[in-house]
Amino acid sequence: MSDRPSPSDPPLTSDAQAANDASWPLDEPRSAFNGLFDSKVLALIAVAIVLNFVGGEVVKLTRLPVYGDSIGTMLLGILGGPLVGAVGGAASNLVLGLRDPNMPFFAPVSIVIGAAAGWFARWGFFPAWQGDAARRARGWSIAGPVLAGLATGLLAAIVATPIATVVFGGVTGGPTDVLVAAFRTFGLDLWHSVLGQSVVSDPIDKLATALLAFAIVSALPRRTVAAFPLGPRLLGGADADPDADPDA
Amino acid sequence: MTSPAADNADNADNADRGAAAWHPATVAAAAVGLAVFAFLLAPTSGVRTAAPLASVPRVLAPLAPLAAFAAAAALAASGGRPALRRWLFWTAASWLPIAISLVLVHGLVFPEGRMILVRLGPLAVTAEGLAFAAATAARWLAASGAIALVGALCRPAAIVQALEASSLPGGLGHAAAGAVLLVPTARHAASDIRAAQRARGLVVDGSLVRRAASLAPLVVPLAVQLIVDGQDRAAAVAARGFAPGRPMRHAWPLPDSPSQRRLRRAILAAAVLGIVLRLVATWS
Repeated sequence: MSDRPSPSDPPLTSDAQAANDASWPLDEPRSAFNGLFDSKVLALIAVAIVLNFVGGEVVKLTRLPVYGDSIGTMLLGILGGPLVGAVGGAASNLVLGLRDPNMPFFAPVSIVIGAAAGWFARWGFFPAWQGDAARRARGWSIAGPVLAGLATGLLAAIVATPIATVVFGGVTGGPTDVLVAAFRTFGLDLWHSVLGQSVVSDPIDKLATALLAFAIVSALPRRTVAAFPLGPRLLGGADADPDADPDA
Repeated sequence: MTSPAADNADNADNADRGAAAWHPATVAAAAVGLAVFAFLLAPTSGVRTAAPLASVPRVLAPLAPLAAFAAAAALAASGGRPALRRWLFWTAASWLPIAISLVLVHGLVFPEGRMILVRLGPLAVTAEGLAFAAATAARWLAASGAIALVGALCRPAAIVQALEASSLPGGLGHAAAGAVLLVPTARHAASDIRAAQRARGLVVDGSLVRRAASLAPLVVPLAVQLIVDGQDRAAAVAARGFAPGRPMRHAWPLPDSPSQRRLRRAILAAAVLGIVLRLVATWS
């Protein structure tokens, strides 16, 4: 038997938040930073870190030319907003550095990916598809994640280039190093070769990541989406009812 | 494969030895300090863009990555044989792919190179390219060895406890600790989903389009399951009075000492100072 709340149950989140508020000591002022990262967002950050790791492993199984290691970071930005995406992205790279020493060096790239995904979600590039009727009505809206993914990839390429050049000598030990070698054979210096490789591969990777994140947000229950800071916006408006039937 | 008795002996041997007995934050500070040291003094050659030598004495520069790597190896060895084995494995796993790429890419294609050793059609092995690959590989060897110290020397439970008790802002220590604990569960879920989708006929081989189409059925259910379960847990801990942003106090805190706290502060201050001095020397 499932212990999850049924749709008719009152929202757990308000009770939980009330308990949370009541436990805060009166002599400890609550900063805006602490207010933003409530227990729901912190749980999402933990899940996003794990998704970056395990999701990347799953993507490797398909042998596709994408990294897939920023699915969680992009989800954080889409559901939590730019600040949550940026802070969670940095935390992800630092924690995953326990297993992969490359990761902490690319923390600035994750900050940009998380923040950019948050801004694009805030600007309406990721309207969640909920229900068949909404899916039909918003069929055109896949253009939003596509544009957001490509633009995020370009931003990530710009930030990743100096890190890959200075720290790793322009290579990462992956298949994309072939592109660096190809640009070098044309006589380009290391900076421009790494930039060329990043501009080619990062938008493709972030496009696939943005589409996956979009599919995940669309597959989540409305109540779950609505519980996050950008949830109401993703569901179609600040006053969206999380319990409404999307096909009605 | 070692016997359980041997493993227990290893674990007992490793319990409180050398750097393995340090607080995880001290190990992390040492790792950061060694990595920064390796990068600050690391030699480069051939390409003007990669970490210029600036004012670093050229005699000392080539020794810096090797010195940092030797220090990391000594710290790992002080934790006992199991810690040293883990450290060697993680260092090699992260260093080898990049070292091989460095030699292949810069060894064969280095337009700035003038001293050609071997010509292979459009490609040429140059002395400058090999020197650049070797210098970068040495620097990365030191950095990967330093960062691998944390995972090799600290038990996962100690890392989780240190993160929960840390004063990271906004409750991030709690989130990071939760992530470390969640990895085995997520891997198990990913494996179950993969098996279920294969049973339904999903094929992850074949053409590019077919492999791309297999991505969503593998990743989306995993993400949805993790997020929904995570929200259930968040509601449960919030209802029990969890207050984000306040470090958790454990009944049995990790062993720490004033000297370790001073050492951590000194290492991090020296690392920041070194970076600032290096940037000033480079740009002046």
